[in-house]
Amino acid sequence: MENELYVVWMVRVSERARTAVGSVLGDLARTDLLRRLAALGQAEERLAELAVRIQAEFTPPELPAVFTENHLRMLVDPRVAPALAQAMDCPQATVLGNLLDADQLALALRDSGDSTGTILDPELLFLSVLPRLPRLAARHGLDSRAWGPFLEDRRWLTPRALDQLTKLARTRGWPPAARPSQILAAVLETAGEEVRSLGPEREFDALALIELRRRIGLLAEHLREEAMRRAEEAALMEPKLSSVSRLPAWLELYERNAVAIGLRRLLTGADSLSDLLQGTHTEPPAVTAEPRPDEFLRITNEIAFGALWKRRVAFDITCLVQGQSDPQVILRCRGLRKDDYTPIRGMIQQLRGRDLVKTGGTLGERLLNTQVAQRKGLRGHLRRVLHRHGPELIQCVVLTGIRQPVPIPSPWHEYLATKLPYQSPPVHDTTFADPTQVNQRLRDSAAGRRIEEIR
Amino acid sequence: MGENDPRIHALLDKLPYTWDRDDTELARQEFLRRRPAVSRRLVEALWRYWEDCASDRPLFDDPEHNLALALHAKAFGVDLTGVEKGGPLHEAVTRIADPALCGPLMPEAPAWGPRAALDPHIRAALRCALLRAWVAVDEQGPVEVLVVGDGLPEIRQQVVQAALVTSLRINGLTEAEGDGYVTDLIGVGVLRITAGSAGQQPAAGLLPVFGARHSSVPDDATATPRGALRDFVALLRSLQHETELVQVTEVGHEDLVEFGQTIRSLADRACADPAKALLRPIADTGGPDAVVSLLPYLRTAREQTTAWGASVGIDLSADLLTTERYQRLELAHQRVLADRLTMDAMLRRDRLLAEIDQQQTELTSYQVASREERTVRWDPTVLLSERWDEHLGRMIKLAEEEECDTEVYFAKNVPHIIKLKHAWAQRMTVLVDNLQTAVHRPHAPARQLAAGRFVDAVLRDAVPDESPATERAFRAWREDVAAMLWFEWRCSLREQLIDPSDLWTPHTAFVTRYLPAVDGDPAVLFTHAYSLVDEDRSAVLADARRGVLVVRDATDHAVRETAEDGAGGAQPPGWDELVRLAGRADCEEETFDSAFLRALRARPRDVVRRMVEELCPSPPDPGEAATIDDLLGRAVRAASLTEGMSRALAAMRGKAFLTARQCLDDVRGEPRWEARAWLLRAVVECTADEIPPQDIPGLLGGRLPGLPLDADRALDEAAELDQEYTTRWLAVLPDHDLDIGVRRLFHGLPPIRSMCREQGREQGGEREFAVWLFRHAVESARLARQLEEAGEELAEDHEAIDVALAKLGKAVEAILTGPFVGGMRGEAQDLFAMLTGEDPPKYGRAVVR
Repeated sequence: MENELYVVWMVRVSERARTAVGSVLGDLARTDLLRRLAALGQAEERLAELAVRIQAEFTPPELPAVFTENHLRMLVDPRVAPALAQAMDCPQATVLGNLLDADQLALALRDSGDSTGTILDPELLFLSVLPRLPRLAARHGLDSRAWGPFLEDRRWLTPRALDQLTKLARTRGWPPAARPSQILAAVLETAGEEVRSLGPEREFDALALIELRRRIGLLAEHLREEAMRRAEEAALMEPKLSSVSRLPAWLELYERNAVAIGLRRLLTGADSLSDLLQGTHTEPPAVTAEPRPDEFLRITNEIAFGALWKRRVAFDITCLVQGQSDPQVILRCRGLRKDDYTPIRGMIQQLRGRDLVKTGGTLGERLLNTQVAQRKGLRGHLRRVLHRHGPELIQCVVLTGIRQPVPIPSPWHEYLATKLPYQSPPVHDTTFADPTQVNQRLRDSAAGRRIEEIR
Repeated sequence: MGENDPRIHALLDKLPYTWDRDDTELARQEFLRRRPAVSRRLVEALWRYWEDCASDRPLFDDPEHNLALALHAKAFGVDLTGVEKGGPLHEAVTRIADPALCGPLMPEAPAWGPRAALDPHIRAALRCALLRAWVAVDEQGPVEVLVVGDGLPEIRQQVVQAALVTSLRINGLTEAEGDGYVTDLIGVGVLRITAGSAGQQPAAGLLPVFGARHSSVPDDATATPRGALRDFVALLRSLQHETELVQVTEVGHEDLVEFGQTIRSLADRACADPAKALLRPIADTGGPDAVVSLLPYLRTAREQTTAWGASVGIDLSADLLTTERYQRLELAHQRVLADRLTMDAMLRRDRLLAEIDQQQTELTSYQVASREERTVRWDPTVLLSERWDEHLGRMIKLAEEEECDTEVYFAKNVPHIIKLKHAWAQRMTVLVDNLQTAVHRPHAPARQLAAGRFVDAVLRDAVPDESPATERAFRAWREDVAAMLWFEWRCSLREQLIDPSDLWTPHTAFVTRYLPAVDGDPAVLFTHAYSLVDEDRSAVLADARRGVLVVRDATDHAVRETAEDGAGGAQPPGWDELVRLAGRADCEEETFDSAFLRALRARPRDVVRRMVEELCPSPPDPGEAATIDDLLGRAVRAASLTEGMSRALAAMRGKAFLTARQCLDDVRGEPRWEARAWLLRAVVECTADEIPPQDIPGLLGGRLPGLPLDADRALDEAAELDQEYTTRWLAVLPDHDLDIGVRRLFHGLPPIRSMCREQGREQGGEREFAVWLFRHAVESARLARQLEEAGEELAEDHEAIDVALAKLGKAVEAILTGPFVGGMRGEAQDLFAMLTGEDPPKYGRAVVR
């Protein structure tokens, strides 16, 4: 039953969650709340409602987006003094002294044209600054919404105030990225409202968070590996259902962002070697080691036989594998027509160990499942270009802003990612000089000198 | 005279307002002599003196020195905003904003769109979207790796993180030699890591490529610098294979050294013969193995070399790394690097030790048990679901479970696994030690690497982005130091008669080395300018009159364009022409490729879009969704027994009893299997009634008073379905703990595949199982994404435990008790235990894993 584990443990662990749940089930002690949860009628709907309430409780409130001139004026409003004093953890009488930096206020006063320059008390200074805010704004080109960054940059707030505001944001569950001026604005705007402090909760410190993230990463990684393993198995078992057979490639492309592998597997214009060999191969030898990724496949024991007009070829395909110094025969083919053999030979010799797909028990099976470009037509040519000039083409896909290179519906569209995650491409582009121009310009820059060219 | 000069010491011990005329003069002279590597104490004292005692007059006669003092004061964190207007101080501070004096020196970085990416004359470019790596190898493997290019953010972050880790591992492993400085550079757009070629190091096994990139501490934590570098190369190769947005080229280390010597000899010859200039133009032979190297800008003039050395650089005070803003930056940087890495290794070590402990306890209890006790407490066979992978150092889930005689298991398997795990724990301990050395030793390689990275980024006006916190902290620090660094470089180049544009180019990077204090000379940061030099695509001019080697490549002559497709060149073929060409029977591969590339360079957007459209697969058959739904429905019914019982057990362990009941209610199967579900239901009811786990076997087995009514009813149901099994299970239950009781319920359950076969026997049953696997794969992928998205919401520094649970709880719940998961519940449970701070119950742990 969805949400039960979540709600139960939130209630067990968190006072805040208990309050949220208590607003529905009654203001009860923890044990009683848990008992009520265990005996819920129409549990599914009610648990969903409770989960939403808990999440709402933990969703940080939206803070005022900007600190305005009006907020500055509110600082001297007696109605906000208690809230400010509570935020600054000081008596009301010394709030402004604790909040504002006298030196910086004096500078601001001077900036705004005041030449008296004798006041040292921050409160008096601030009161003098207030009527001069429009002058200050005019002088620094500030609109009414730009006061937040200004007072932060000009260090109007004391270091103590910054600390206190940060602490306050944490205890109230406000967004951690909130700026000090935003927090101050929120304090001023919520003054007088009943504010519930979260109290000193147990915390994960930075190192604990690192460990937590690490575990999340590992678990997510294992889930994806599991997904890939099962998808490959399913695709082998049920190749006729396109959703099933395409899932591994879809996961590679959109979930693992292995864009090269994903595109090669999803885009058409290719045939498997198994199709091209037309059943002329024998049962693949049981070579299961990993191929060396950079080594090309080779063809050996090539023999042509048969009458001249229906010549056929027998050959073996070998591959260098990890841990072996000699190439291993991974597939034997007997009786392929000579006319068909020549282009297939070229394709096989262009394949490296890393090009073999993962699907298949032996290297021979993996080779048979490997896709190579169709031999004719636009699709075949494009497919070959994709293979040969992969880096250029994939950069183009990404840099031209294509985020959904395969727009057909995803195999299980409501659950799977359907877009590449890369950022928007640059607005501009660049072209460069060719080598001749580079050489010439460098030579020109040494005009008048005797130049000796070195090769 | 040095910092150890007693007069300077005495001067700095005095408060500036007590300085007399001689003191002031001494301080001024010391400032001029030391510039640009002036100590923080001297700068702060001089600034305070100027501000408090002499603000009405310039401190130095030369306005440049006054500006320099203001810049150094700002770099050390002195607040200059309060300077009184109108005076010489204010004048110096105002000049900081003058871009001609203190502005950036680097030319504007080119925008990297498709046309830039496709330019055939570009290879090693700092802004390139493709990460190009040159791996210099000798007979023992990689010696040095140079990675050039910004790359895409998603890939860059992985590579930069791994490069930092690799460099740390290498420098933490290497014993300090000589002055012990770190020569690696982990800059923005350029990374260079060297493992050192000296010494015969033991060859270490290569890491498997797949999966290597996901672990920041590789399982096979190879204990040699070469091994660490190999791990890094393995990551690059795996990214190349997966994305093609990384390209690895292997070059001979000897060729790299020789190329460096060739360029150096040009500078030497220019120095020796100032009458002529030597030009090594671009040959562009197009050789794929051409070397690319990061080489220093060497001086080509000998005059006054005693002060400057053979390469162009400046000294800076190491005190720059002591300011509050830099400390914050370093802290943010280390949090995403060394701390995380150390924590990873410690975590793995602790986990291994805990596993060893657990297995040792089990082994001991088996060894001390009598034969009768063994018969009662242990099954005659053990079901092995995992094996220990010696190479990876972790348990690997077996595809098919294997039965093993219990006696053999405890006599051979367990001691062997304990021994192997011990060895792995030892390796992790060594790794932790190495990392701690790398971070905490006197010259702290981690600190040197960080300083090099950040100084280079400031000088080149780039921003390191390994984490948002680092980025923020860097921007704050840059605000303080950037103007001073640019200004001092300008001054230094002017004195050496070097045109800044000869040195500040789109292919320039800066290498900073930390030189510790020696003989009373303070520690300094030694920042030198380097250039990427491509054997085939860089032109080099060595001219004594220029004072420095001049390197030029295509990026020096960049022309900004709009991103729209244009004609771009002479008559490129259009798409229609490509279609026609491909349709011709005599179309050669090379002809088509060449035409395609020309078309792509001219109209990248149009051509790539058309290509993708042409190769797009057809949508699935309209009836396919219904077929899948139908097959899945049958598969779900077939799998309901195993799935339902596993989910119910996981839910019960998590105290989600409504869920556990619901899962068991949905179980459908033969009576003998359904009976087991009812027995598990009885356990659920007891647990839900808060009966302690140790009391449940006795209570259930004897059906004693106090047994909850629902549990009693469940036992009746089970007995009705399979009297014999129920009686047998209940009879032995009081002699065992609950864990064994639960495990017995799961023992011998038919695999899902055979259940599917049974369910869909008319069609062979394989289709149902295939669709069931398919649905599992979809769900696992979805949950991985959901979990990562939830993890991204965590705060960086502190997070209340309940807030973390609120953010992650739903994602973990779905993995623990949701349908179509399986296999990862054990790991999810560990994560959940961390979030809640409560260990899950001991019973059923092995089954849930």
